[in-house]
Amino acid sequence: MQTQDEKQEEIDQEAVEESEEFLTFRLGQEEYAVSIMRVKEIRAWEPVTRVPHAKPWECGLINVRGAIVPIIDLRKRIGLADLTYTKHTVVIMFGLENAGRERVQGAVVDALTDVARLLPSQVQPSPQLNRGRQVHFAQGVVEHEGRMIVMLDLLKALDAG
Amino acid sequence: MAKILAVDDSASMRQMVSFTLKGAGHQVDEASNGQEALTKAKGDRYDLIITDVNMPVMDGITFIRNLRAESAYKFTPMLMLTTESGADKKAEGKAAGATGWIVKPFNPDQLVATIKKVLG
Amino acid sequence: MSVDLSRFHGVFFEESYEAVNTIETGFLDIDVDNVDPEEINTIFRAAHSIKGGSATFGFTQVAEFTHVMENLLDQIREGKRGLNQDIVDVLLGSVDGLRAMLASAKSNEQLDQEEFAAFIGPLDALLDSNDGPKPTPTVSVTAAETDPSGVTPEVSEDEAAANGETPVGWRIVFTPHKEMMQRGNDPLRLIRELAELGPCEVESDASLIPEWEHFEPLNSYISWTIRLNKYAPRTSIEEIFSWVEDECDLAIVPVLPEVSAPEAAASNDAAAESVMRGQQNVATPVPAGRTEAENSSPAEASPSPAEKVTKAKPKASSAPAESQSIRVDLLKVDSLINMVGELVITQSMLNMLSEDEDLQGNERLQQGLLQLHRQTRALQEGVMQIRMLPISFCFNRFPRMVRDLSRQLSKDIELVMSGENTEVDKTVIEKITDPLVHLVRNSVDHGIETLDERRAAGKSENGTVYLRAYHQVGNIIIEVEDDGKGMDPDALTAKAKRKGLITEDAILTDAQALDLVFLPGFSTKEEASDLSGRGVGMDVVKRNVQALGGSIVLESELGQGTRFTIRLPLTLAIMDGQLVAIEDEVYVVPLVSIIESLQPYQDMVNKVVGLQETIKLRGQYLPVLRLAEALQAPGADYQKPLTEGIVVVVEHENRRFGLFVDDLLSQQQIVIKTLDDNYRPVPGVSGATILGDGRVALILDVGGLAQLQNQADMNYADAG
Repeated sequence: MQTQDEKQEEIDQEAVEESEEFLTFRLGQEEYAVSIMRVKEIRAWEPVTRVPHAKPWECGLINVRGAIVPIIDLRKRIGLADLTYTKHTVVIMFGLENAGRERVQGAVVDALTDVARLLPSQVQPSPQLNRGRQVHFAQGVVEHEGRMIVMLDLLKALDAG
Repeated sequence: MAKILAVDDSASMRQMVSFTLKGAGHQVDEASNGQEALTKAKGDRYDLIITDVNMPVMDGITFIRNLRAESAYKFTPMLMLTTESGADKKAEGKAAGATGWIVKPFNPDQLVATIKKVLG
Repeated sequence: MSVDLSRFHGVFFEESYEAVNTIETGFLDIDVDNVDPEEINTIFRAAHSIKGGSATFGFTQVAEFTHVMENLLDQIREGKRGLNQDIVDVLLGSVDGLRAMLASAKSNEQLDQEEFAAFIGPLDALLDSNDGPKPTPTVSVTAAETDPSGVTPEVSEDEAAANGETPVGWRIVFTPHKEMMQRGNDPLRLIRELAELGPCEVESDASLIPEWEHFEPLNSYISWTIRLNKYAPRTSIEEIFSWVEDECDLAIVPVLPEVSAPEAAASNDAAAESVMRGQQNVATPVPAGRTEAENSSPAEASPSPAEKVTKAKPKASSAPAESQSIRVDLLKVDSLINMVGELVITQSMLNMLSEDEDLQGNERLQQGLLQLHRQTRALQEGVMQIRMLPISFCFNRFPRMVRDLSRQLSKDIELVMSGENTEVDKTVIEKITDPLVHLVRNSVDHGIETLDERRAAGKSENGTVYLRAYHQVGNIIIEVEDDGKGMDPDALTAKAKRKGLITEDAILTDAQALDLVFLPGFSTKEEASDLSGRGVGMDVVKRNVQALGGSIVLESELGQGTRFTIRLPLTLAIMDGQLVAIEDEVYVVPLVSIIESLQPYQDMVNKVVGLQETIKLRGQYLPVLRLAEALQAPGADYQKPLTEGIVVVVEHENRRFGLFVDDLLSQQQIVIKTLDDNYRPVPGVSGATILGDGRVALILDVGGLAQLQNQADMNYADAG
């Protein structure tokens, strides 16, 4: 027989196990988070090869160890104003499972901020910010060390859903 | 442990024979027809020959006849692998100098048991 | 020790499919009136080989089926059964049966009884129809649990019946013939094996050993009398001596319980009598399963086997030597190709770096780099070669297909193939097969006329379909041609109008009219027949060819015939490219598409109706496509005069047009990468490559650009 306390402890244990690591980054004034499980690597910005008939937020293609990988500008994707790329500008490379194989895509963000351990259960529905597209790419918000972090709907943002 | 030459134009049969005999601790070389086997056998010394009968380029019986003529192979056991249960192929093989035969289909255990007897 | 036989199944299936192809090709090539024995032998050997393997690996149906096939083939081989077209048909049908059985065996299944009966029925019927020999009963299939000694634990009936009692042991008199040891049989081994059946008393008789000067060391002179003091079935003793039954005198006499020792000593005469009986017994073949088999091939009915073998030999040895090969997983090859691709990129990067002024003077470095360049190319070509297969892998199916179809349609059609050994990339073979099947079917079904039509047109009754493959500078060309009725451009145009595919007032050249065939929704016969109308149209054929980076051209002469010419890249992984620049962007144009490049003079440049730019080249007006515009290059001057840049003249499907670029850069071999892996297809772009500086460059799809050009033409037509 389990005592009440033991059961509670088990639940706490589960809660710890459920917390996941998230990579957080800045886009404009806001902080966003994506599961670290999706992140393959971080690269510095480098010139891309433009593709004709591309979407406005698609920067172009780069060579990652022999593979041709598309890069998008996440700022443009969520409808923020253009920003000149600087030495802090980084590209996050994502690996997305699709139909049994991995597609690799990169996204330009303003700057990395943190790697945070977050509990998915603490994610709240996004408040209606009424900023149009931006809410569209939010899975919800979560509070972390006093900051509000937007959980990014990665599949939607990368047109991979 | 004996040194054995396995001859068959069918890769699956050859591999099966070879794998089985290696598993029984023998050293096995392979050839895919009589001509190739003859060249190999003349350039080497085998304790036992196992050969298929029906093969392109040179069939097993011609191979046995030729190899038996070599003084180094006067007493070497040479077995035919044959699906022919009819007497004529066996007799033909015997006339050419074959020691005996193993009738296909056989399973690995039968093969090992036969080889063990032949090698004493 | 136990060996899992399933590990050999993969190899078995591969070689069996090859053997099935051999059988099929053999029967397609055979001339029933003048059969070459070696042809039948080859076919027989293939069937025989499948039978042996399938029986060993436990594929009962395949074994049973090939056994019946083999019986039939054996009769033909032995000349006991004539060959005619009907028998060839049945045997070709059995090829389909074999394929079906192998396919289900591969997934560890069997055909259901009905299907199996449908395939084996005609073979059985054929065998039964003959007054000749009956086939032997079905072949046995090994099962893992079979007793390895092969001993049947039954008392032979005659032994028991003769004396009403089971013998308590055996007396075996064994006299090897002189040459027995010279066939590798050691008498001692046989005695040892006997001893495994029970306790033995062995007496040897050395009285026949000659004087030393007559002694021949290769001969055996000793004979033995062995008393086995335990009951064992007679067959198990016969089994031990089965290999040497013709090389020794053997008597196997039962020892019965009531024979007491003194009597046995007194019954020497009786024993001698038994020996005689025993010998006779051995001399007539008794082993089970043998009599019937012998019936099927009476020795006197055929030339002696030895003779047969020697006759076959000269022909066999003149056959081309089989090349040695290994089977490798394609993934391994592809990963090797990728690695070499990376190496090529690194090598071109080093080359670029070496152009630095400080290094230009370093003679040894430059030489080393040149060497690296050559070696890398050689390595790349060698590795690419691994993926190449003769196109016969694809062509092989056609003789059968054409034969079956023409019989079905009651046409008399000959298929003439050439260039079967032309090597192409494996992927090309895989992807081109379906389009070719469609084209060949089309020629047989629609192209070649019926016998009556041909006679009426004053043509020979038998039509011909040609299937050719050959290399042409970096391309492989495949042609499907027939000498049939050809296509009528007017009829095609009328039909396209009726179907609303083109406007009523459209006026087309003959070439444009023929091109209509490739439009979706167009088919040359009003009702799709069950032969060609299997849902695939010419548009699909064209799409498949284009997906391989190739092109297809149709030529036809009414009443004379039709020819489809497919041009494909040799390999899908590398190509020679011309780098071109638009502003600071670099693109690759496949070198094979380029006719020439030039900087036009002012008087070559024309602008028709203010819309379509053309250049006049040697009397011919070529439309010019501005790449900057087509590719939406930012910041480029879309109005730049043609005289200030370069026009690259390209050809696609017999149409020429110009691509206007800012500059020509180098030509180099590039590794083709697909965009689809991480991105999506882009119109006008066939893929991408990585340049020496590590940057990505897009490879232009001349066919796709031609389409853009077409749309421009349409616009022009609309405006005019």
